[in-house]
Amino acid sequence: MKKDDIDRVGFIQPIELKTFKGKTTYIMILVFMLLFSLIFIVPLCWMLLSAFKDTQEFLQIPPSLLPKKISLEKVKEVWTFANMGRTYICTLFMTAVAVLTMLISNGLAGYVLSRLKPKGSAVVKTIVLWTMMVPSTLSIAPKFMTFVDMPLIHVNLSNTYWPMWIMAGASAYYTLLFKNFFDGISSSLIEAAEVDGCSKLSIFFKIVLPLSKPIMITVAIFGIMGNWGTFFWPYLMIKDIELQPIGVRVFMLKEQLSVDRHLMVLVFAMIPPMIVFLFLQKRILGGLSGGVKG
Amino acid sequence: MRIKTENKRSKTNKIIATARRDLPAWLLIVPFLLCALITIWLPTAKGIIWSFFDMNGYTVGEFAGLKNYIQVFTNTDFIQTVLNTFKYVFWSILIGFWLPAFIAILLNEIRRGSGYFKFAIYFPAMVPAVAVSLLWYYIYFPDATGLLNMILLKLGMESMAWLQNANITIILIVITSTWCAMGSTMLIYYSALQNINRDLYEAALLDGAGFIKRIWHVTLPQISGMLLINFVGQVITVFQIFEQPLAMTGGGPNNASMSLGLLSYKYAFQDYKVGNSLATNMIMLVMLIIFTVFYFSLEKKTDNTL
Repeated sequence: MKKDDIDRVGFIQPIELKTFKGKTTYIMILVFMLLFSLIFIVPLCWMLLSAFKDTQEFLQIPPSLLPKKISLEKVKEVWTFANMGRTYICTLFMTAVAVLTMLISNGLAGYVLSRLKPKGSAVVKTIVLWTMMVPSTLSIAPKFMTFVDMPLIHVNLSNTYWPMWIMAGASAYYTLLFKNFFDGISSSLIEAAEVDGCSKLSIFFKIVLPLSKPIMITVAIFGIMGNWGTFFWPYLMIKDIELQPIGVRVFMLKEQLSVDRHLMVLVFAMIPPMIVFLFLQKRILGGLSGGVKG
Repeated sequence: MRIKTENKRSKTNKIIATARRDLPAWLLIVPFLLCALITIWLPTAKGIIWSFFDMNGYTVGEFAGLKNYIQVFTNTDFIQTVLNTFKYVFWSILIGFWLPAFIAILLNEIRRGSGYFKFAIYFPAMVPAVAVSLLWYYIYFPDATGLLNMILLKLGMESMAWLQNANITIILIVITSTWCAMGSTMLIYYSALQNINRDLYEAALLDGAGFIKRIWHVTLPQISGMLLINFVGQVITVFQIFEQPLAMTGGGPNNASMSLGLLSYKYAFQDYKVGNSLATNMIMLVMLIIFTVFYFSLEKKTDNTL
C-alpha cells in the first residue's frame, strides 16, 4: 500500500480515526461499501456459475451454489453453436477500424481547431459545440435512410461496417477532448522547433504526436469500450448473420439457446473487454475522466 | 486610380496567400466535417423537415403539414408513453443521480482496499450494454431460475414476476442502467474529491464541524458544479432511453415500459410509419429544449440570489 493512500484525507481526519466516533464511522462506511459492492459482484458470480452448470443442474430446485463439475465440453459446444470465433474476428475488425477512424478524424479536427486555426475555424468550433447538444437518437430514421442510400454516390452501406466507422469519425465530444488537450501543449516547444526550421509536418510528427500519447490512449480505451459491445446500429444495418458483431449476436441468440447456454454467450461477450480492463486498469481507474470545457 | 488597382491586387494576393496558408489545415479537418455532415447535420436537418411530409416507407412524399403530428398525438398509447418517459426520468434521478456522488464520497474515506471497490463498481461500465441488459433480464427471470427469485425462495418467500409486473418494470430497467452506468460517473466525482485541499478539512475540524457538516460545507461544494451538469446530462440521456427496454421488455407488458424513444423506433422500423417516427422525435426535441432552457434560467436565478 502506498503511503499517500493511507495519508489521504477525506472528511474523517487521520487523528479522529483513533477516537471511538471516528473508528465506528469508518467501520460503518467500510461495512456499507462491502455490502454495496455485493450488488455488483453477486450478479457477475451468478452469471459465471450458472453458465458452467449443465442445463439440468441450472433448472433444479433448490438451486446448487457451485456447479458440480465444470465441463469444457459445454463451453466448446456453445462456442461452436454461436460461431464465436467468427463473431470475435468480425467484432475485432469493426472495433479496430472504428477506433482508428476515431483517433485520426477527431484527432486531426481537434488539432486544427486548437493549433492551426485557419480563418473561419472559430465558426466550426461553435458548430461542433452545438452538435454535442443535439440528441443523437433523434435522427435515427434519416440516418438509416442515408446509410442505405448514400447521398451523391448512391451506395447501400447495409451489411458493411461503414456506418459505424463513419459515425466514429464524427464525434463532437472527442474532437473537443482532443482540442482541449492540444490547447494544453506548451507553445514554446513548438515555437522553438519553428525557430530551428522544422516544417509544420515534422512539428506534428516529432513534437505533437509523441506528446499526445496519453489522450490517444484515453480515447482509444473509450473507443474500444464503446464499439466492442455496440448493439443498435449494427442491429439495424447488418442482417447477415456471418457479419454481425457480438453485441447483435448476443441479442439474437436469446431466442435460440437455453438460459444457461445464453449466459455462457454473455460471458464470451464480456471476456475481451474485461481483458482490456485488467491490462489497463491503472490507467482507466486513475482518471480517464478528462472533462470537456468549452 | 493606379493606387486603387494596386490595392485591389494586393488584397486578392492577400486572400490567395491566406488560402494557400490555410488550405492544408482545412484539408486536415475535412474527414471530420464530412463524417459529421453525413451522420449528424444532414440527418438532423432532414428529420426536422421530413416530419412535415408524407413518408411512403423510406421515400419522401408530398408536404403533409401537421398530419404526422396529429397521428402521433391521437395514438391511444401516446399519453401513456409520455408519462412512462417521465417515469423513467423520475426514477433515474431518484435512484441513479445521487448514488454515484454518495458512493464516491464514501469511497474517498476508504484508506485500504479502495482498489477493490473501484474495480467492483466500475467493471459493469466495461461490459457491453446489451449483455448487461440481458444479464439482468435473467436476474429478473419470473421463475425459480432467476437470481432474485432464487434469493426470495432461499429466504422462504414466494417467487414473483419482476419485469412482467407493470408497476415496477420501469424501476427495474432504471436499476439495470444505473448498475451499468454509475461506475464512470462515480470515478469522475471521486477524482474531483481527491483534489480537495486537506487544509479545508483541518480548518473545519478546528472549527468543531462534525462529519455531516464537513460533508455539507467542504465535500459537496467541490462537486456541486459537476452535479448540476450531470443532472442535465442524465435527464437528457434518460429522456431518450430505448435500447434497454428494447432488449429487456420490448416495451411490454402492455406498453408499461414503452418510452418515447422506443415508440419512435417502432414507428420507423416495425410499422414503417417513418413520418410518425420523425414527428415523435420532434416532439421529444421540443420537450428537451423546453427543459434545458427552463433549467438554465432556474440555475441563473439561484446563482443570482447566492
